[in-house]
Amino acid sequence: MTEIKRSGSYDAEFAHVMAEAVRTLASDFEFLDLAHQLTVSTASLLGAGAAGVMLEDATGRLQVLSASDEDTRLLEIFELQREEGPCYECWRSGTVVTAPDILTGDRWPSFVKEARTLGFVSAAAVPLRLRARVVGALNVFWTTPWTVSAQDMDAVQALADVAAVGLVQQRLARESGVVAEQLGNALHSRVTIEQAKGLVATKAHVDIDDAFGILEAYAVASGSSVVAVAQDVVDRIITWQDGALRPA
Amino acid sequence: MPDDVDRRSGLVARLGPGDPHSLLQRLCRLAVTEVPVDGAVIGLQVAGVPEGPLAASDSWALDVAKAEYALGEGPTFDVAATNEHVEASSGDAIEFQHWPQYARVAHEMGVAAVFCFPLRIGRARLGALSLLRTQPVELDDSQYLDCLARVDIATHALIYVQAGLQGSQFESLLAHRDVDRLRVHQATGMISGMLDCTIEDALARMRARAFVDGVTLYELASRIVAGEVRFEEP
Repeated sequence: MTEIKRSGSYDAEFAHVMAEAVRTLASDFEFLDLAHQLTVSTASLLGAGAAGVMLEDATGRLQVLSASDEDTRLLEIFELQREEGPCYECWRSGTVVTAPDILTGDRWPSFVKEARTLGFVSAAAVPLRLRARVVGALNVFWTTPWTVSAQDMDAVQALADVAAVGLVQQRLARESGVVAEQLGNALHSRVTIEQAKGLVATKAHVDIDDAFGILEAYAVASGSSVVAVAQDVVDRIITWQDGALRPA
Repeated sequence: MPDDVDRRSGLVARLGPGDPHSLLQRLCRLAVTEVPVDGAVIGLQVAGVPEGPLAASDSWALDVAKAEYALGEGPTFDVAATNEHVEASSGDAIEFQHWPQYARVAHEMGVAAVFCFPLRIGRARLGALSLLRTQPVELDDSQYLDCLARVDIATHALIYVQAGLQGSQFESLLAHRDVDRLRVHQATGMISGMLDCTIEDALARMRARAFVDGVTLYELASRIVAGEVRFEEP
């Protein structure tokens, strides 16, 4: 997919990514949108094939929140890591996990089988920390052999830290109970988007991935977040009429 | 790092089999014995409006809930409006002042703190779990997480009751770990579109169908997303 970047513009791009994230943090934002922005930035900055964020839910299980691409097959690669894979290991151990060659060895059999179908050959995951707790992980996949430097991993950790700040900053979180609720709210946003994708896919007679494109296009055109559009679609405030999403 | 990989499965096992209505009641009773609260109520919500209590741990909790619904104000109504959890303690008068009538009645009935959580799956808003305390004490972190695990179970239990399924089926279907995968949520949206029904109805219809077809929720969802199973109005 993408070429590994090793130009002098790396620092400039990192600075740009951080500036963009901070601008989002200073605005009224949906955490899921910030997470999506960070996964896209991470993938681009590191010349990676994909990046994603997983968070733990109230029942103590890891759930997929956002990926750099809404392709269902990619989202499901993250979903597979509810039980095994670099993201799961990173979350359980609370430490950075690097997998320079995920295709050899039998570390994560079901995960590797699926990751291979999307062409991923190397991976890394960094923990998403809130105070003393590890609440999830930021996970990066490459379609190229491992050339990741310590500087790259520092950059990924910095982006994960921004995501963690975003999680608490969205509303003033006083205690970890409230943090658990913030995690829950973010994950419900993901579920709402999946419900809306299914509804639009049925009404527009398109597949699930194209349905996301329709939701996203409406969000961009109306200047709202994809989550807000998804809620309105499920609530039938926005419906599919005459070949497009329109206010009901 | 989680101290307990799956808080859900142990809780489901302790609930045991039984008919749907008593399932919700057992959940309320279990909350009172396992979380430091004195009463628990599961309330139903239809089209974003609180309908009434479906189950309670005891008659005191049920009476508090009935009073709240009669007044039409209180934590359950705020949860329905905001879709986010609400907590209030009489030690913090400002929080209870938010509902002047409810505050007065709750105080008379001995309620000193209330924690009310939305029962929801994505945009599906099914109801609320209210936990009552006779002392104005806040929950600590691990108690709070215990409550959230019960919120998760109560949400699934409520859908099962609405799908007309039995308690024993609840245990076997919820024990399956694929119950909350992305495809299941996508398929729920698709059913809502096929039947032109609410997302809440789609959740119940899907579970009833999975039981009739003898497949897991995830297997049914995969077939729906692949276009192999359709839902049609009878």
